[in-house]
Amino acid sequence: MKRIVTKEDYIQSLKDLHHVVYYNGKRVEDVTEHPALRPHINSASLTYELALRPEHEDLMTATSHLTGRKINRFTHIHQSVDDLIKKVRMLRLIAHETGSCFQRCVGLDALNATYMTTYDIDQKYKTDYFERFKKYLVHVQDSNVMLVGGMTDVKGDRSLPPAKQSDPDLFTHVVERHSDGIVIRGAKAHMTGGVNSHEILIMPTQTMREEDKDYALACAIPLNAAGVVLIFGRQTNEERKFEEGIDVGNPLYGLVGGEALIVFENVFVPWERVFLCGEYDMAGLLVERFATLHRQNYGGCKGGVSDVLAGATALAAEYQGTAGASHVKEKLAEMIHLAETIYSGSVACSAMGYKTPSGAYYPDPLLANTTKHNVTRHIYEIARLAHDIAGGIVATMPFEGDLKSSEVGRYVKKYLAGAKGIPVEARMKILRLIENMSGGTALVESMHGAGSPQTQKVMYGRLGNLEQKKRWAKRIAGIE
Amino acid sequence: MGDMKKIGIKYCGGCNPFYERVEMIQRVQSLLKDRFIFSVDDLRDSDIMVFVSGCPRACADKHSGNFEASSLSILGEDDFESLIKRLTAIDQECDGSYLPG
Repeated sequence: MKRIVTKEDYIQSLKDLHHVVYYNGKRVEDVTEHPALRPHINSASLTYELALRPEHEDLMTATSHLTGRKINRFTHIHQSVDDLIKKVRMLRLIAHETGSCFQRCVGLDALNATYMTTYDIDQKYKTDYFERFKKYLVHVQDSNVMLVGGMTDVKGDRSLPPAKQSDPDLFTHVVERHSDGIVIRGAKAHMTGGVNSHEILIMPTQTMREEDKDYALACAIPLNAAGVVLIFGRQTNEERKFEEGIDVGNPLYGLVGGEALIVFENVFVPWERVFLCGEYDMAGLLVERFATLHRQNYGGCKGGVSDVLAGATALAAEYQGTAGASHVKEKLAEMIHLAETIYSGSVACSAMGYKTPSGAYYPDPLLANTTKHNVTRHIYEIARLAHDIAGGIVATMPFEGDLKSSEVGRYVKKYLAGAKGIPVEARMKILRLIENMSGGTALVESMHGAGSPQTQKVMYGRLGNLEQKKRWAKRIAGIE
Repeated sequence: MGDMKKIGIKYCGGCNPFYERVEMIQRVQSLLKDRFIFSVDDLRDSDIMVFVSGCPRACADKHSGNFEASSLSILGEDDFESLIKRLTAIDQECDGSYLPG
């Protein structure tokens, strides 16, 4: 594949992909022309565009440790603590430009997790997954393709392991093995950026036991491979994306990432793209590493979108004449505090990162989980404060069509006026942006992206060192 | 008039800038375009390096060890006037020309 450099290259590459995408029951022939999908493409495009600007080169690019070539940081294996921190700062930077998710970090985390884990698998089983993966990685870096991080299976009955499901396809698994490759079947859910990516790097979704070994699977598949079907997920206020203008809220960059259900119907995968196949005892390590790497991010990206939301909320206050009120200032300060709190978590887990046996650097897992867990709480509070300051008008505002109406437009202009000199249109735009960024899908993604809150509590149990804490307490209390 | 000196511009990554760094440098270029060659893409053989950081963390300064040229560090909008003065002084030292203030 020709190297993708510019936004135009990226868009053309999606036009040339001819992957099978469905939206609301209909096949989409060109994702770049579909109004519901284009905002997500615009958002992801910035991961390409910003890498070309000198003022962002330091964060958006890196040097490949394999080839020595300059690459997009979204294809980089972290080589230092500095790299881990730059990743987080990069995410915050892009969020300032989009006010939305830009999707590509999931693939980056999948690359890093698989890199580290294939090394360990080879050490234990004398396989050659690591060398195979490095060849694949060079392809990703040189072509600059966008990857989906394919972890989450649909899971069926959550009380049963993969091998005991009534339908064996409810976890993605190997159905055939041949001399030249494998055939897989299943589906991955919540696939961020799915319809506007080029490939998917599949990983197992949970720890596996021996009976689940056909589900211990990691492999890379082009999204236009035969048997791959993508079904776009409906978001809150989905139909707004078909409109233009004020009521869309974030007209260029949409809402959250744009997730898809990706189905694998007897998809062939050649062996050179298989990185885990049956080594079930290593599946949990890959899952944990991906989860940690992905949880590391959220203070960066959600910190960045929270910055935009705080700015929008401050403007809403100015536009309606409440910016001088002490309680408004206090609430804005609280929004900033919460945004910096989650950001500081991402920086902390990066700063406390360390080198793995593969040579790649890995963030501190306990701090990464703490960061994500904070995000599951603080984003809701940040949104609540935005709603508090902006007022009920966020939920009741007339349509843009009413503003433009020859019959009632004059009423909207007159009765939605706020502070002197502020155009009503500006006030409506900022309120719609707040609505877009603080409701429905945006909140749910912050809750469950990179792992639901309970998964972080599981990690607290594992990594929280409670026995040592009890020993400290006993010693200080003088208990024998 | 001597040969124009080359000024290399190295930005920090811009994760959370407190001011519009690029716009500020564009203003500097506009004022001094007849006195210096400015480059952001090719920093080799720069006579002077200007490290432009978006905030007091001064992340752009971390690159200073990679360049032999003398360097100036910009941390915020407040540094605009002093940057103009410093560059003007450097230019005057070189050829004695008078620059508009």
